[in-house]
Amino acid sequence: MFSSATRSGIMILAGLAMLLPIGLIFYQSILSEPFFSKEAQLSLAPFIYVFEDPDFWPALWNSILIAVGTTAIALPVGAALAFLMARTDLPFKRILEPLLLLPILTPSIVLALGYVVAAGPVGFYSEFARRLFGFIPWSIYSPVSLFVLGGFMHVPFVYLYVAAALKNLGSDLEEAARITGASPWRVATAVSLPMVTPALVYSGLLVFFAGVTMFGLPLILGSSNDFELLTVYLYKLTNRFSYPSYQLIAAVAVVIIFITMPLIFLQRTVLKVRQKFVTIGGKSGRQRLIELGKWRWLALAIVLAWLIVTFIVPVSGIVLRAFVVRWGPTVNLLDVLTLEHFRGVFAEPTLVRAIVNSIVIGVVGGALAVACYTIVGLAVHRQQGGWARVLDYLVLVPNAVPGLLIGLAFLWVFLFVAPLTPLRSTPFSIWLAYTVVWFAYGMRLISGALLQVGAELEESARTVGASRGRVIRDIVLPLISYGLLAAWLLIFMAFESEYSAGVYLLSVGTEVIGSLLVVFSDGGGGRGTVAALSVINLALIGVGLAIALRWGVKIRG
Amino acid sequence: MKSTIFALSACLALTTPAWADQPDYYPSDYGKMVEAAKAEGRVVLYITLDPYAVTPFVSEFEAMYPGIKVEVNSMSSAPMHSRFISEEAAKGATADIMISSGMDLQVQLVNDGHALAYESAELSHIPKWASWNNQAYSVTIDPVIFVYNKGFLTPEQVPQSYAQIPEVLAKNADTYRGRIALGDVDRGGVPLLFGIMGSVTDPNYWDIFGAVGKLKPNFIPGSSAVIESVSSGENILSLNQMGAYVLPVIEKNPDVAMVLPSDYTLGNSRVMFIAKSTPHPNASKLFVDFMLSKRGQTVLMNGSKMYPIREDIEGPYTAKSLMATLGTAFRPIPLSPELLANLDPKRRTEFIERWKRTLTGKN
Repeated sequence: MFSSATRSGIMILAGLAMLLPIGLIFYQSILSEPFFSKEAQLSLAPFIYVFEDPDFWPALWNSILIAVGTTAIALPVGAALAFLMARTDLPFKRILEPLLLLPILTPSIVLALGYVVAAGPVGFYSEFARRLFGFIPWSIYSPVSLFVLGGFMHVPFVYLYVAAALKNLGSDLEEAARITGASPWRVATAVSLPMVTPALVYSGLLVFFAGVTMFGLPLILGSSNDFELLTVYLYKLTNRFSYPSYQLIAAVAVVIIFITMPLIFLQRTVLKVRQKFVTIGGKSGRQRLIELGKWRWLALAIVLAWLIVTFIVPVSGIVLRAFVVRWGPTVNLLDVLTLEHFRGVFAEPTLVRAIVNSIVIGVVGGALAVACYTIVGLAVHRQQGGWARVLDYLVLVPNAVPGLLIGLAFLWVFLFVAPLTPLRSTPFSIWLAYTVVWFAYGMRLISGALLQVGAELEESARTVGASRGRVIRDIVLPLISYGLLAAWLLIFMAFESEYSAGVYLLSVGTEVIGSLLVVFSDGGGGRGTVAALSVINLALIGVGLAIALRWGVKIRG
Repeated sequence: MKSTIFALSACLALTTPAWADQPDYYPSDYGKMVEAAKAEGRVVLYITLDPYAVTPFVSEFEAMYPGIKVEVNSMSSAPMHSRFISEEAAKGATADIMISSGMDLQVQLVNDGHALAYESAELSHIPKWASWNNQAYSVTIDPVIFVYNKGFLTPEQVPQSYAQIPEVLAKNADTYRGRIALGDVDRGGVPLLFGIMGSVTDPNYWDIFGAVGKLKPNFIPGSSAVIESVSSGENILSLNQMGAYVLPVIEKNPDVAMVLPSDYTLGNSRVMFIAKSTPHPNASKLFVDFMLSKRGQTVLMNGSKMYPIREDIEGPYTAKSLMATLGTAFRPIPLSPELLANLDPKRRTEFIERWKRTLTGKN
């Protein structure tokens, strides 16, 4: 859609933003010392050390296991949810639609902290269960909880992509199946879901990545020594050596990338094979909803149960913690209600600045990020192969690296890439890190909107002599403006929920709530403050959601 | 009280030249340094304390020296160490002042030549153990203590010393099983430092922790998580926590209490040094003197709830009170290059392995 020179320029910039940090990690992984050390030499020693370390293999294996498990849970649940929402007469859909996204819009570290208060060994739901059954039928610190909660938390990813795909497909085949007597279940599994395989595969991939790089949950809930994950192993590496052992950390990151990259290729291959069979594309007629009949309320109950476990339980825990001085089985909560944590937050300039920065990064930064995603999206729009293909792979790479490490790599970029150094202590550094981390997500939002624009409109404009810029300005942008608005809101919420990528970039001027949550939960700071900050963070996300609802923005991938 | 001091000092600052506030034993040309510091205008602080604890002494300093702004960066000890080294290597902007409870990491940085030597004007007024080579200073000292929840334990169920642990725990095994929280030496530099120092100090260290290991302790990274878990009753006892992190919790939860182990109580310093690369040497020196001064240390005690190191400060939570209570059982971890031995990866790995074997009964 741009001239090829412009397009190359855009691609190179986008590629650089992605490749600089990732390239640094690769480079660092084959050096004997931190890359800035004078003694650094090319060496495979980091890999040898890691591979010979007996702690590495179980951690790797467990991380793969948790990624598979998370995907195995999130995929079916998310797909079922998408089917129920897009294709059936499930009750209260309009209200449910935005609520379903809440678990991915909430920083997982906040959810994890909430689970401790709500459902930990002395949590208030646990106490209730103990009185009811005489024991607590769950343990949030067990590996099983990591699987289940990790899986449940990532359901919205699958839901987002699959629901969007379903909504773009006509329902005629499904109706045909219904008419010939297939049950709703059979329609879903034999007709609808096979048609949206690309969305399933893609979202499954994202969930798998999220599983491998899972950080917030194991940080707080992963105290079990029998089940260590790679992200925790990274912690240990830094602890074992006093001098920063960046080469080892980088080597582990490279291993993670090498495990996940083949999956991206696999995904492409699956989709290529698939495409030959998918005969229905574009838009077809009206969509009719399948009537669930007596199953309506059961389906609703299941959806609500998921939402309660994944969102209501932990959030009620963190909200409660924010408003009490202390808690526990010996405490009558009514005696210890307080607003001091919030007063404390608002009396502390650093924290107020963090709140303001978080809003600015979300609102202004979100808009700028959407602008970038749009420009890149337009550059690859209707392009096949070559650059577009490379970029497709590239945007996913940052998702395969734990967020903390991406943040560290960006610290290096801002320290050692001369033109960028003055920007390190400005919100720009955080913005760039966030924009790269959420690139895949953002590009998907934009390309989804762009695909809604019929090629014939662009072609006719070109035929009557409009310049490329004119086509974009007068045809494409007006048509996708609604989609851009939706993208802006979603990116706003994504940026508010990001907590790991900014930790290493934290300095005066770049404080954001997410990074402070990590720092506070690591050090000696009181949990009340952490909880109050979390609640403020949730409130920001809630405001975004409320605006989205008000404008009737369809929140879909 | 704090606001009165604040207002008072603000008034003083307005009416008299700032150096007039200085104690009489400061060098006569100290005023020149103050002027030079004001010309520099700011000092950048990296510190392992959350903003609440930092604000009181920073406001006090800024009130004392109007025109010098302190930029505070709160972070945890390992990222702070990584960041400082990276920034130094890139010759980028970094801290002027580093204050961290990761004593060994700080000593390493000083030993590697990252510190600016400065003989503090307060040197003769702080304990000998609180300074090293005019490069590193101890600002506060935390007793390494036991913390427990009174709601679940009677007084005789609480060990009062390390030596008592095996017996008391064995007697109350059912009470304690699965409800002891320990900082994870495998995931945190500070728990590892306490572990190694404990094993050096106490010949029975491994037997004592072996007794703890029999009761399925929980390993939790992060002090705030450990202390919160004891406060809520999820766990009822934790060993080797920093006193200053427990004090504010005791204030809010009368069920939480601490024990200063009577056989030995380690003292962990927050170590401060000036970065050699500092573009604000005068403001940094001023800040160091302030932190060690009676005025600064008093605010540390009253405002930040930290244990000051100066012996001329009266209060229940000071280095002096610890000495008075514990006598020779109080063992400040020496601020010296001896700590570097702790940083040897082999030594660390060996300790971690043995610790895991001892506490989990597994390899």
